[in-house]
Amino acid sequence: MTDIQLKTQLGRFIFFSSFALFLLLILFYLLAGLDTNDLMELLRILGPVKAVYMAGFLKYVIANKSNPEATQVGKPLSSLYQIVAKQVIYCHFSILIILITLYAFFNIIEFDSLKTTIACIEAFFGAYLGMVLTSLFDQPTA
Amino acid sequence: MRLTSLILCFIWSLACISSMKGQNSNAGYINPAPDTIIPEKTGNLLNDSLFFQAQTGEFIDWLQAKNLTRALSFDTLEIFSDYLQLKLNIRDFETWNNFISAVDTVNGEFRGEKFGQWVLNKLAFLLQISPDSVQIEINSINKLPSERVRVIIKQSEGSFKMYAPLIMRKPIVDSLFFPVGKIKAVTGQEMISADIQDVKQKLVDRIRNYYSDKGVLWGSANCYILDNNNKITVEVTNLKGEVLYDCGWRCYFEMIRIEINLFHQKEFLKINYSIDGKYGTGVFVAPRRSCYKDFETLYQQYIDDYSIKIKKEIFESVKKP
Repeated sequence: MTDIQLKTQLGRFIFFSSFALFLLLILFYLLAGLDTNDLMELLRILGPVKAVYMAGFLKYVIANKSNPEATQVGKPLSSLYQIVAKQVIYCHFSILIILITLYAFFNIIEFDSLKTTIACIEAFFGAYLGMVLTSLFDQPTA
Repeated sequence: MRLTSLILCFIWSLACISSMKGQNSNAGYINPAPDTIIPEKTGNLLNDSLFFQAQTGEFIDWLQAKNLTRALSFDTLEIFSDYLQLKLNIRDFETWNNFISAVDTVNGEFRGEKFGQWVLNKLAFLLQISPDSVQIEINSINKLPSERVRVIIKQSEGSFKMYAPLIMRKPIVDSLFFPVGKIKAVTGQEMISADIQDVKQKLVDRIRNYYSDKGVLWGSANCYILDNNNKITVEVTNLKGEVLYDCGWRCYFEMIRIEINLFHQKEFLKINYSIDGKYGTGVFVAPRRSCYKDFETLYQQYIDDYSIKIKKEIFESVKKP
């Protein structure tokens, strides 16, 4: 897999899973799994972080209006890099979605604990995600 | 492959969290069977300091929602091992005087001792503590002796006490009076003398029966009843759409608390009652007791309407055999 293919794959995942996360929050609100205060608090915590991730991807998309896979030659990536980059991003979003779902459906933790846990997850994965996304999207393609 | 690993990861997380919840449940959150004592914060209250501090925010929100913050401001919540003391300050003497005048004369149901009891019960309810273990002190911040005010609101062994300036007059309590001869005993015969035990039994049966068919689609409501001498406390959880009846398919979980006191006064039976409630989020499983939010800040009208419904239930339970 080349860096261009990985960028496209991960970028799509970040883009769609961010939207899925926000749609899920609205769905839980409509099902009374979250009240207005809960929804606003979660949007306040998740919004800015997800916006940063999306911004990196959107910047790349705007800078490459033509199909980069057809016009550019990508650099081959090591399998270790691919696995780490993918797993960090997949785990991050999966854990967030699972956690919020468990709260809204089963009240598995208290809301204050949920907020703290999300903040910890964001802090934990944020550093790694930042490194992965910077190395992927801020490097000029060969 | 990736999808399989994601699904496995999800199942593993579910299993871990479920087992954690199971451990918590065994530790202290067991759904009690009917007739068991409602778990209130007891023992060394200092152990629950964080909870009390957090709930104080709810109380301040309630003060604001009730527009009481125009006269009163929150000062401190002091936590001792066996009781809590909430200190409120009077904003200024003029506002306080206006407030007292309004409390004392404008609305008959909203004056003096009744007001104090209302605030004390609300605080105790939000802090999930017995009203006996909480005290409210209202102080003036003005140092002039002529403008000094100090009000102490507390409850001792179930009896409400309020030390206040004379301007705060006698209480008006929501009550129902029944002439003893008009009360039907469980046997169907009219009572000759008020048998509080009999009436209490009828009330308990009626309330339990009333909530027996309530609940959610996948489970019935939990009705915990604490019977303490002439006082009955009922707490109902795991139900939706009872107070917020027009919620449609977007219903919150509700927790309803009814306190009923029975007194025998000559040829009358007097029943004092109060109703309070909280709501909590959740699609399938009701939140823990500490995660509910107060109805009054957003849904005051609903709880007022609901109290009429419960008043009727109490009335009928006493009148009918």
